[in-house]
Amino acid sequence: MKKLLTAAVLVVLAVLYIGYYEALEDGDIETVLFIKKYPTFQMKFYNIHANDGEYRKVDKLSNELRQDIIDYCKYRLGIETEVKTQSDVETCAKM
Amino acid sequence: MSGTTFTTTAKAQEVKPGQPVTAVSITVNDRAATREAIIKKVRSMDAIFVERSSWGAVKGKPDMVMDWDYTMIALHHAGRSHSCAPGAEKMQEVQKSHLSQKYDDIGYHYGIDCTGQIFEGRDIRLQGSSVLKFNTGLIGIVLLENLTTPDEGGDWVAKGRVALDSIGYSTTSVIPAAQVVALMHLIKSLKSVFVIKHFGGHREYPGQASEGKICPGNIGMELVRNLRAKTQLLPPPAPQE
Repeated sequence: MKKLLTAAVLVVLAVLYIGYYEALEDGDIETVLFIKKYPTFQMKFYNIHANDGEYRKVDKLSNELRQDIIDYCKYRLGIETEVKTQSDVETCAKM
Repeated sequence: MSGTTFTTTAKAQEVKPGQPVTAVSITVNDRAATREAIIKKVRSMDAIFVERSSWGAVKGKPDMVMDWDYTMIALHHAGRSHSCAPGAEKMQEVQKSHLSQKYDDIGYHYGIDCTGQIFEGRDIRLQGSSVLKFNTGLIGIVLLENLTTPDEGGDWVAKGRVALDSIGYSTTSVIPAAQVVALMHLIKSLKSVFVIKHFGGHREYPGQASEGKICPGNIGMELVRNLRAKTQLLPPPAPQE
């Protein structure tokens, strides 16, 4: 019972603190694991700049893309931002 | 096309005495005409050109960034997980993976399969997404297979391929002659409408090697060097300070 409880706690901790995103590397999609800066049950994140494109223009971001950036920036990089400037977009593009 | 003269046709209208003449508006879409000109030029060289609508492309997102006055071409391979297969399927596969990475559309402007069929990727009027932070004025062409040698990448995939190679199972591709011919036709067509100066492999462009890019692989790079000699095109520009 004790082992089961320990395993359950470890699983919950892993879910809370381990996240991942996919990056397009040389044509192939690779999964990148990382330790989250803050605990959350969200495990899949999007770094919308982990590919061969250009920086997104802040004034053309859809709500969905903006939220992707906000989540990635907070949990992967530990930066809380509302992504209101182009500089915010580029800061949050870091791997 | 950068010229300022166009030929066009307009429907003739009958002018009756005493009645005002209605103006005939003519829309000149130079860029759409250029896209058509590229396709016609490719087809005139007996190459097969497959437009987006014919390979089942998903519509790209609205409001994509426009681009024009291309001066550079970057050659890509599809990636280490790819191999020769029917082009339409490969294009769909590549587009699906790009869309899953939040691209607005497939990142390459053109794809060429192993049989030499040329596929239209992202509309040439739109900026591509194929060379990290260096897409302005650049046309991306992908050869739809893996063109790396086994050791490239330096990771577990490379180690596995080197091991397979050592026991006689080759995982190295040879670029089919039909694909090379098709690529030359496409480059010639693009040169006929744009002032293309540079032709290079993806990893040769500024800032790419330092990001660990290996595309288009050693086999692809050999082709790039051969084609540069044949087309008299220059290597990619040096990075700006």
